[in-house]
Amino acid sequence: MSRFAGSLIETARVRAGLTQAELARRARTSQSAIAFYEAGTRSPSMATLERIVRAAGFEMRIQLEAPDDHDASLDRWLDTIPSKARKAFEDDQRRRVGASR
Amino acid sequence: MSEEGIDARRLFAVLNSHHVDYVVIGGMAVELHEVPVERTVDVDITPDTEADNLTRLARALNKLHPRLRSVDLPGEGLPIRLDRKWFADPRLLMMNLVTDVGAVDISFRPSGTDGYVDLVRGRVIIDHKGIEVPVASLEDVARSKSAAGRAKDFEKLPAIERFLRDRRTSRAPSEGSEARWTGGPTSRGRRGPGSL
Repeated sequence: MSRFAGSLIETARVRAGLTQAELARRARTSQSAIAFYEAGTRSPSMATLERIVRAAGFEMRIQLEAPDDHDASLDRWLDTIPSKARKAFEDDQRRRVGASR
Repeated sequence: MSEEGIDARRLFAVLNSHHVDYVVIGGMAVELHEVPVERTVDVDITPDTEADNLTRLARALNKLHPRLRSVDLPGEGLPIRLDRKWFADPRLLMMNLVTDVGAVDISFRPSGTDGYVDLVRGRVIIDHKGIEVPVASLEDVARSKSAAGRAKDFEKLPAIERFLRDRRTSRAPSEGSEARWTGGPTSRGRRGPGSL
């Protein structure tokens, strides 16, 4: 939930063109709380999440869907990939993501 | 699989040589737009569902030895010989494949869109290692990921939104709206907001 909530808050904030401090003021919370939520190091309650998203000018809508087996089937295929090739890709992935942060 | 992950260039080359009308969507589209996110291990495309195009799509994919991918099938997939009829069933929204170039997903109507006719309006052509690739606009990719609503979709959305915001703020008013640019992972730096 924490990573998902953080992504949701940051998406809403950036889409609204707000800084963390501006969103915090609108949502009656602190800038550090927004920062923690966005980083995924703290997880807001559903009520808090809804309040923050609303403060950014959006509303949350939740729906139930049938499971999508896309990722599970992809994982099954990846398990058939030789470990050396997979490790090379994952190492490159870490370098790439690390470099962009 | 190699350090490159998927041989997307070869896939695009085969699709183009068979004159398939399609747009790249999903994580690969995000990557081709040069948004700094984790790389994807599969390619999602949305084809034009016009009958002749589906025939061309099937022929192109057959060159890459497609296998059906599902949790109910062996990891390496179930070999199939594609033809237009495979794609003609209107109930089919998505087909997950493994091919010689890696995992390829055919998505006929991505979440939040009306499929190819919707996505082709905003698509841009991106040069990927010398191959011209039709890619859904980043705005459309964000729209689809928002509509899909899965946690994994939202993980990439902040980076996409930041990229779009930065592009909007740095775009000069005198620049036109020509939907064509060059760039891509192998030509980093050639395409910035200014070359839109």
